[in-house]
Amino acid sequence: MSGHERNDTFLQLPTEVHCAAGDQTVGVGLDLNAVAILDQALQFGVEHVVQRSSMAFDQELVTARRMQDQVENFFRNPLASILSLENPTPSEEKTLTRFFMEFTSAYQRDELIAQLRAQMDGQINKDLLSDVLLIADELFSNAAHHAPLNIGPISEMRRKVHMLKGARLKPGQVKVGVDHERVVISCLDQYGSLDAREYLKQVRELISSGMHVTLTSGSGVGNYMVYMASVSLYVAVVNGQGTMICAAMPLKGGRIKRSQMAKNLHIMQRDHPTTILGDEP
Amino acid sequence: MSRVKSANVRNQVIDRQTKIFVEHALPESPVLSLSALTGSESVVIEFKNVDYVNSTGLRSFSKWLKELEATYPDMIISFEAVPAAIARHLLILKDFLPKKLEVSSMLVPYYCNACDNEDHSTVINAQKLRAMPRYADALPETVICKVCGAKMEADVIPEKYLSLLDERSKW
Repeated sequence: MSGHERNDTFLQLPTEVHCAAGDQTVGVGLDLNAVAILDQALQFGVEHVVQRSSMAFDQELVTARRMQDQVENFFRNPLASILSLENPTPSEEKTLTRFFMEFTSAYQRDELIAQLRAQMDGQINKDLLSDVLLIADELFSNAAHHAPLNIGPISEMRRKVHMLKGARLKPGQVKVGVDHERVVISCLDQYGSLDAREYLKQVRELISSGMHVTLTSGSGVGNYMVYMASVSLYVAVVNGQGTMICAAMPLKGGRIKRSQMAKNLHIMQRDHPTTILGDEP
Repeated sequence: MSRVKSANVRNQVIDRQTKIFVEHALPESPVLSLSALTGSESVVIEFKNVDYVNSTGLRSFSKWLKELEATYPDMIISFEAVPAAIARHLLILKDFLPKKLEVSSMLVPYYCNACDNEDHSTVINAQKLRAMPRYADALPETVICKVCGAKMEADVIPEKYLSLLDERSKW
């Protein structure tokens, strides 16, 4: 392991995964709270914080490895990469997908929410649906409203107006997938402009401020809401090519149980030598 | 292309009270034009059918409440039938609510561990809560699952969740 000082509850991974993913990449925690998990990522550079008591521990380790070793596949088949122990294939992805929408404009937010609500209503319970809608909305907004457009320096307000007037984006995707125990929401954009560490840093700062925030645009409240609602959060960025953020939650159990579950956090940001989002091979 | 709205708002005025019904989500535009409240002494906002909230809706609603408070300093503002989808954000965002706001009733979610059913129909009002020594005592003794008949559990921590209803709390 690295020379960083570690929390007592932070353990080294099983050898096979440890070797496959690299020394500093994956860490296994026990009873780390939402803040301690972020600290492992932000202070110690651990890219995958997986908790031994989490609901899909083995699968989380497999997903960590996939995010490191099969970047292209993770971007193409995020639901299967997160939910399936088998090799994540397009057909497995299709089997797991309960909702899919491609977007090319920030204007499609209401359409996304209306369709998602109609599609998932009755498939999952109402309280969970509330979180699924929240997460899909926030991930979509992040992807669509913050897309780096080639329109020169303009104010935030003008930019917002420009986006809402229907500025055309490179196609992004929102998907929702379900297996027998988890639901996953994924959102892809084809820009890869997110700074994953800054994203998490904002969440960390909001938690430490006790949420005494002014509700201003860009304060990160939406990111905080996504992090707190998720049991597992996956943030993957291939610089200049794409950003994929996914959130997983258990299908069963009420809100109290969900909020008490051990969280997992995965971040991956890198350059990639080849095109990851071109046409399917 | 017609735009599908994620939020729906309607209102009615009875005597000097304006009642606003918010459905689906918090709107990302002002809930109601402030000029429409001229002549009203109180405004009641009912959230019963709100099923989710996003950060933009929270931001917009917060701004509208602040403007409402500044424009009509004597206006009595009341939230009614606050569901868990909103309540949990109100509990976290401490700077969100106006000082004079009263939360008059909340919906308490119940969950059935036996069959995964849920129930959002239990309403607890502030008057009932204040008559009880502990917040938890305001909850019904039992809520039976309509699907399997098992006893359901309140899916909130009463002392935290119901504090929104208590006018003596720090709100």
